[in-house]
This record gives sequence, C-alpha cells and structure tokens, in this order.
Amino acid sequence: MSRTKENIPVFIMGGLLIVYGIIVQTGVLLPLLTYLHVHKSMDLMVTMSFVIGVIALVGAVINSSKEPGNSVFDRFVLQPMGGIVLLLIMAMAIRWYLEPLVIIMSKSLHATLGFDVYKVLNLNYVVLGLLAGVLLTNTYGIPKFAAAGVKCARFVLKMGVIMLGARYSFAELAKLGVYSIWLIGFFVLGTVFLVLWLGNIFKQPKTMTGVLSAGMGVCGVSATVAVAPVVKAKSSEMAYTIGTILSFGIICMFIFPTIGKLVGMNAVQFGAWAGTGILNSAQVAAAALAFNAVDIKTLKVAEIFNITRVLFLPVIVLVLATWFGKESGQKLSFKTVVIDKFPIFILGFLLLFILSSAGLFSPPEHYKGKYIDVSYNKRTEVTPEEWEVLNKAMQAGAFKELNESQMMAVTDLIHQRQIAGNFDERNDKTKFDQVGRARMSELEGVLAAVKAKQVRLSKEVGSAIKHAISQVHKKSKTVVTLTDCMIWFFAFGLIGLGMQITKKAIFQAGGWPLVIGVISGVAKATLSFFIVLWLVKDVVLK
Amino acid sequence: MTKKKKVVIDTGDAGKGTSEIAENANTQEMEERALSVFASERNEDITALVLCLITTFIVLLFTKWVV
Amino acid sequence: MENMFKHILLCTHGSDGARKAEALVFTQLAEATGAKVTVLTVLDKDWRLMTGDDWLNSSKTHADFLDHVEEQVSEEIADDWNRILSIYAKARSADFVQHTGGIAETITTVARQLGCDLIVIGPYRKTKRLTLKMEKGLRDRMKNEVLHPLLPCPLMIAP
Repeated sequence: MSRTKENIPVFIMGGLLIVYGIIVQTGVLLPLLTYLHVHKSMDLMVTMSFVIGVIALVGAVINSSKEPGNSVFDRFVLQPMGGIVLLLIMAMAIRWYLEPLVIIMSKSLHATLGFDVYKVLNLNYVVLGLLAGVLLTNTYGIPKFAAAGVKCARFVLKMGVIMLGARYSFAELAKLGVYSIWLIGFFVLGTVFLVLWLGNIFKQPKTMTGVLSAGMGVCGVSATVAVAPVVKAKSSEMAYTIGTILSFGIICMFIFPTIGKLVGMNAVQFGAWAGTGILNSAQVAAAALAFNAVDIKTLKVAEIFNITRVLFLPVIVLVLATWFGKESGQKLSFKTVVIDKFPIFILGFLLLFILSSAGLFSPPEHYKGKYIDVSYNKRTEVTPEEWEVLNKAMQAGAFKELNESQMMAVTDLIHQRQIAGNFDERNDKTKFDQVGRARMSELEGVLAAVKAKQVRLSKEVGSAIKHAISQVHKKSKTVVTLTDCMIWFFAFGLIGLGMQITKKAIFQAGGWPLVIGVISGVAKATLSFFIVLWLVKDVVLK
Repeated sequence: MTKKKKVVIDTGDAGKGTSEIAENANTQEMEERALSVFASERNEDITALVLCLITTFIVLLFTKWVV
Repeated sequence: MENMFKHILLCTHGSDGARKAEALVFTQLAEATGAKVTVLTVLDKDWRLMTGDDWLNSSKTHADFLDHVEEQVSEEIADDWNRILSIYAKARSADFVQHTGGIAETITTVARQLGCDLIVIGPYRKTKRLTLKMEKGLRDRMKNEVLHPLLPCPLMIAP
C-alpha cells in the first residue's frame, strides 16, 4: 500500500498527460495555442503526451505492485521513471507555455519599460528550463519521487552531444577545430598563468591558486573538482573557489548573449566567444542556445569549443600535478590522468559525425542537396528579428510592387513565420506539401525579381526571405528530426543540471578566490571578445 | 596527543577514488557521489551511445527507409 | 550547579563563535557541573552538492574529489581538536567525535544516542559577504526552525 502511495505523483503526472493529450486532440485548445503561437506543434504535443503518459502509468503500476529490485530494468527504467517524467513535463510546459507567455508578457511591458525583457535576459526555453531547475531545488527541493530520475540529466546531455555529431561536415569540423584549439590553448594557458601570477602577487597559498587557475582556465567547476585532489586543496579553498566559479558562470550566461547581440556578432563568433569565455560547459551550451535557439549554428560552434576544453583538461591536470608534485608527493602517470579519464562519449560524437559524413542521413535521391521540407517545425522558422523586419516592411507597404501570388506567399510567410502549407490542411499531406512548395517558388521569384531590379526591397527583407527559403532547403527530414531529438535532449539535460545548482554552492562565493577569479575571468572574457571579433570570420555552416 | 579519525561521506564502500570502479560497483555509491544512475562511467557513456544509435535508427526508419 | 548536567555535547567547527562555546564549556560548565564532555564536529553532507552542474567529469573524478574532501576535512578537524587540547586542560578527559550529515539533524541524533542532557553551541553570527577572510567548511548556517523541533535536551548558546 505504501508503495502505491509513493507512486501517486507518477500516477497523477501520467494521468494529466493523457488527459492533456485528449484535450489537445479534440482541438478545444486551438485558440489558446494559436494565441501562444505554438499551435503548429499540436501533433507533437498529442504524441508526446500519450506516449509519456502511458509509459508513466505503466511504470507506476509496476512500481507499486512489486518490491523495488536491483535488476537493470529496475535501476535504469523503473526507479528513475518519476524524475524523467517530471523533467519531460517541465520541458514541455516551458517550451509550449512558459516561453511564449514570457514573450507575450514582455511585449506588453515594452511600452512601460522601453525594452523587451525576454530579449535582454534571453529568456528562451533553454535558459527558462535551467532557471526552473535552479528554482525548484532551492525552494521546494527535488521531490523524493524524482531524485533518481534527475540524476539522468548528465547522461541525457551526453546523448545530446553525441547526436550533435551528426550535424557537422568535414570542412566545418576542421575549420572550427583549428579555431578552437588555438583559442582554447591560448586562453587556457593564459588564464592559468594569470591566476597563478595574481596569487603570487596577493601572496595566496599555492593550493588555492592551483584549484582556482584550473577552474578559471579550463572548464569551471569540472576542472576544480578534477584538480582539487591533485593539488591537495584545503576545504575552504575548494568551497570558495567552486562558489565563485559557479556564480561567475551564471552571470556570464545571462550577459554574454545580450552583449553578443548588441555588437551584432554572427553565430560563429558568438559560439567561439562563449566557448572560450564562459566557464562551465553546461552554461556554454545554455548561452549558445540562448543566443540562437531557432537554428543550432551557435550551439555547433560552442560545443566544438566545449569538447576541445574537455580534451585540454587532462593536460592541465598533468601540468598542475607536476607543479605541485614535489609537495604532495603524489605521482600521476599519463595513463591515470588521460587514458583512464578519457570521456568515451566523445567517441560517440565522432561516430555520429562519421555516419553523417558518409551520407547516411541525407535523402537517398539527393545527396546533401535540394531536398525540400515544408512541414511545420519550430526550427525552420525565421528568427524573431527577421520576422520583425518582414512584419514592419509589410506594414510600411514595402511589398506593393509584388504580384498577387507573390504577395500571398509573403503574407503567409509573415503569418506562419516559415514556409509551409496551410495549417487547416495539415492532414492532407500531398496538398499541404504542394501549397508549401508553391509558396517557396513564389518567394524565390521575389528574390529573382529583386536581383533583376524589377522590385526594390531593403537588404534586410531580402536576407530574411532568403533565410526562410534556406530553412526549408538543404535539410533532409532525417537530419531535421535528429536535430529536434537533440534539442529535446539538451533541454532535458539542462533542466536537470539546473537542479544541481544549489544556493549553498552559490553563496559560497567570496574571499580571495572571488577577487582573483573576477579579475582573471573578466580579463579572459574581454580579451577573448576582441580576439574573436578580430580573428574569427564566418564559417559557412550548412 | 593527536586525535585523527577519517570522516566518511557515507555512501558505501565500493568504487572509492583510490580503487578502480568495479564492474558491479555499488550503485548507491555512484548515485550519491557522481550523481549518476550507472555503475561506472564506461557503462554510462556506452549506454548513451547505444540509445543514440537506437534513436537514430528509429528516426531513419520513419523518415527515410519506410516513407 | 553540581550534578546539574551529566553529559554535555559541545558542538564546534573552529569558528570564532564556536570558540566561545569551547571556552564556556571547558572553563566554566565542565568545572562547575562535573559533567562529561563530548566534542562533536559535523561534516556537512552537502559537500556532495558542491560539484554544481558539472557533468563533464567521469564518475571516478567525482569519487576522487569527495575522497579528497573527506581526507582534507578530517585533517582539518584533527588540527582543530589538537588546538582545543592544547588550550584547555579539561579537554583531555573529553570525548571527540565527528559525524557526517545535516548539521542540525546530526547534532540532535548524536545527543540522543549519547544521552546528553545539554547541547552547547556558539552564537549566531551574521556572515559578512564582503570579507576576504575565508572560513573553514561551508558557509551555510544552521536554522533555528530546523534545530529547535529536533532538540532532545536543553540547548545553551554561548554568549
């Protein structure tokens, strides 16, 4: 009986999901969803609600009828069930309700404040998810039924990184790899030495500057955790360093995307800057998705930098171990530091990259080519900035010179924010596809007319239309679906990781680590900002 | 007189830092210490890879091979 | 005062406030009541939450880190006890124990297990945010709302 009681939250969540799925299926919510601008995801909502709801209910029934065991099925499926379902529900609620609501609310506050809150703070679903996780742990705490499942977060984030491997081409990986190795190499070593030097000036113990230099230089808390035993850091030094790095990273996560947008960085530049300047790797992913969550260019760049940092970490551990070796009397071999700790999931990333390079994910009839997909997808939308350009141009009457069918295509692009068929006809796949493709060719006609100087349109409007067309081009349905899976993995993982950021750890910031950390962190962020702007040019990304 | 005792963050005894994490390491240890549900890092990474391949296969099946 | 208390639980972690409690117990209370003293140092279990959102490290690195924390904190606690022993002659007859857990929960559980009839702690101090002085352990303080309902015996706060 008590087991049933423990599973009540899971029963409730599963039941709610199924009820929600049924309600969406009937179409009652259509006005609300249209208002929130998420009605195009209705099919996905229904599928996800039913699948997850049924799994949750079945799991809860099994859990309440049998003794908790120690089998593989128990440990990896039954026990984490509650937490996984909770994280999924949070991800769905944030993506489909909270994010649109925040956008609508900050637009209505625009008149009083003079700016859009969601734009300044980059409150998209990724950042909101992370924040929701942080809020939950630090107020109510992670519910007991969800504890095991929340621990899956880093595992799911790893899956996200592996899946991301499918999105690179050889040329991109080579180009980005060179950028990242130079930038990361320079800044890792630079920051490590800066911190050690500052520590020397302020007469701080070597053990403290050791942990702090790794944390500020390589990848934040991860590096601190890896280096602390090697340099034999004191408890206070570890606590203050971790607190400082965690808080500094969270602040960076909010500031970086705003600055990047203000100075008009492109995706590659921002990815490179965030990958170099932000300390913790989860925060790098969040900032990259905060900069641009609609397409994943920035994330691609930032993750390459992240991976480079991960590969640099053992080197730094070795260097610091040699540095402190005499005092600690501890010997570390290349094998214990590099081989035993090599992150195997990076091999998975490479495997997916190889599969993708071999052309497995492109449609059979067109190798990496002219495949057109006009189905609904949040990611094939134009960016909010481009949408505003188009909308303003429409209101200003900039499209007067177009013919009637071109005009209709543009009107629909603004209405739907992407090139697609009619929402009402979405069940008739053939017709939907035809309408979408027709609209696309009309828009291509618009661009051709602009090029032939028959029609005058501003450069921004032209590039917005071009982007809309390229969004439905070039991507095989397989790649689009794989990318969506990946985005969900990242959203799930980042909510879970947010739940591991406790206020205890954040309030631990202070002392000398705060002083030295802020100096070196700001120096690194500023210098890398200018170097990225100066050196990194746009890499052509597919 | 010196008094020194080792404090233990109580999580069981397998898979401690000094020894290699055994194949069947104490799951509780892993859960408490590394915030992971897997018995070892390798298991976690390999499971992640396998699940990714399964996802990829299903996606391929429904978006490329069957359609 | 004599025989008023039989077994005093002194909770200390070496901070300035805790030192006041040490002084109170060893220079006044133990003398006056003739009670047995047990010195308790709690290692905050929340050390394992200190790794934040770190997901890159292998589990072995996490385990290594917590091993190091345990070892390091044990050493620091031992140093602290030696300091107490070197200051107060009375401390030689005291018991020294250390436990890991939530601070309030551990203090009350130990008091119950040992059958203590008085718990002595240092005064509440406001943590200064802007200070370069680094204190041992975690900054987090015990909350009265948590501690008071759990108390098995009177609590004395050293002035």
